[in-house]
Amino acid sequence: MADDTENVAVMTVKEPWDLIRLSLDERIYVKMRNERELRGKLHAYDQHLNMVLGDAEETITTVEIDEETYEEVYRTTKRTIPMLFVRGDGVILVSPPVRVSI
Amino acid sequence: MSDAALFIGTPQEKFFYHNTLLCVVNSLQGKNVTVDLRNDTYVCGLIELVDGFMNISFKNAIYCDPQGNEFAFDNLFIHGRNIRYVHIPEND
Repeated sequence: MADDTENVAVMTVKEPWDLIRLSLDERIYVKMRNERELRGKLHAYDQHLNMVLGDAEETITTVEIDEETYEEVYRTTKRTIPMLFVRGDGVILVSPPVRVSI
Repeated sequence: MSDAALFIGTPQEKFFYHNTLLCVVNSLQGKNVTVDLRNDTYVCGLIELVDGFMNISFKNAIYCDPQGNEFAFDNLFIHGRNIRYVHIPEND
């Protein structure tokens, strides 16, 4: 292949922490406990999954059941915080927001 | 070592204090921040001290619940486990 001569720095992903390390300075999606989601730019993380997110948008999803029709109404509340420190014990998963094919 | 006077607790606490992102919250000592708690309440106040377990003691704190009630305290101690978010103020 013609691209073989290019020098590309390759980081071997050995463990899950490497996956998160790849996401540093990228926008990520964080699923949290209590039906909360965060989207923001990952500035820092640690082994507890405490994170610092820049330009974070929090989405809280609630389900209300209509008393008359008994149908479930899903509502989301959003708010943005310019710089947010997230305590790791609330984090369920961390993921890139859009799938990028490598 | 000046650190010896700070920690009456375990070496684990000292490890957390120095080796986790806790140092970010620690750097906010003396600053007015908002801390969201796990029970959907929030505290606005001056961070006085942070320890290795992220317990925070506030000065001149206002504790607000989702119903909109606000309570003012000269000193307030929040257990680290109850913290959900810490809003980091933007410094110009």
